[in-house]
Amino acid sequence: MKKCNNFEELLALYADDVTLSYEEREKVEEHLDSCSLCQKELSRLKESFLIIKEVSEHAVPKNLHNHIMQGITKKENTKKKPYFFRRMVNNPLVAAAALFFFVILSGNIFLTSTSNILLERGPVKDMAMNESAESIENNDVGLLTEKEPELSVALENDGSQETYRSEIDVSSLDNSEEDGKLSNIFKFNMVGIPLGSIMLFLIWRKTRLL
Amino acid sequence: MVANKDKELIKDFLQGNNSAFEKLVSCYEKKVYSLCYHYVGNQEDALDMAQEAFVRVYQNLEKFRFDATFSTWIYRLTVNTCLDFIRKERKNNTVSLDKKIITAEGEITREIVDDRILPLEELEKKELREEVKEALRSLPQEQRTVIILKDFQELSYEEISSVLKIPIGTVRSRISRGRIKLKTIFEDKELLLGKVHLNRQGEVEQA
Repeated sequence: MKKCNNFEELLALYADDVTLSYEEREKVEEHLDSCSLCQKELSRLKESFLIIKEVSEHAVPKNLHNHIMQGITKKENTKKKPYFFRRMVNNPLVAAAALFFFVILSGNIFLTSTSNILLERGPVKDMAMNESAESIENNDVGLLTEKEPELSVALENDGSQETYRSEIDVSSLDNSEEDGKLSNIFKFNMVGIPLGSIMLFLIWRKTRLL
Repeated sequence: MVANKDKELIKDFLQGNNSAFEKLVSCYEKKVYSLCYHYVGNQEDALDMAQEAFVRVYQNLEKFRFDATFSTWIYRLTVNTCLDFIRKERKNNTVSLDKKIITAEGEITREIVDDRILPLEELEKKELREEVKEALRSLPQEQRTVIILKDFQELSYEEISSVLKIPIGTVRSRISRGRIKLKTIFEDKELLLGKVHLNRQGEVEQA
């Protein structure tokens, strides 16, 4: 009986015949010859194996293929955009063209943004200087006498406002001068972007056909 | 040979040829479906599982590195899909219980309809099928997987070992434990009629 416990697992593998090594098979068969309990056990295992075999056949539904392909096309439709993008990136021609246009466009954007910064720089700088001036003034006020501050602050404010105004005048003059350049850049973009995208699209169509 | 053909189809598909993918589907849909069917036990869910498995194949095919055969890989994906499904089902336990009752009822009514057409033998086979399904479902998940792959799908130990990424020794012990458990369940259900007993003596004598 104790011996049989060692054979239980081997017997289960022995039931479908093909899966044991030669030595294991010999060992099992030797034991089976002398053990009627294990013979019965084996017959039950074989029978349950036969039941499985009997049942494992089953019909395949007719719409299986279509059902699967429906799922695929659904996924395909939702996936199209990244796929399009990946295809573009994969193609060296498209990548080169994209890079070229990217450089031109980013160059333009850089130009316009830097000119804007140049225009804004004047007043911004001035504001910062005013703030620092005021804070210094206030600190000084605390240290000096208490009657004078109102006047000095008022004076200081007046002065800063004046300087601020003058700066604005100067910058507005600059602005009108640069307007011409800016509109040129925008014109270029208006032509360049659609042209670039049309070219990209044509190249993409070609790679798709290939 | 099959592996080479698969390779070419996969390469075709990755180059943008979608009809190559449909060919791959045609090659493997039956295997995938029957694996799903044995896992989930009913046609409706099995269809959805097979679809889901192939959608995963479609999405992940570019990650396939040809380090295993395609059939191994597709089996692995399908097994994982089924396990995910079972996990989900277990999470919504109340729902799945309701669902089981409904499907059971549905199949009973179908049987009544079939009753007039089917011979007794077929009817018995259907009942047997239900019993086996139930027995399979009661196996621990690990044993169920290897039993389905070995005894239903007839994969070899080596194949199962690479599908599940476990050593062959583990595959063997899981299979034998699963078979013993199935046998005891069948015994409890009184499905074993001792038919094989006489046959087996003959077989032993031959061996």
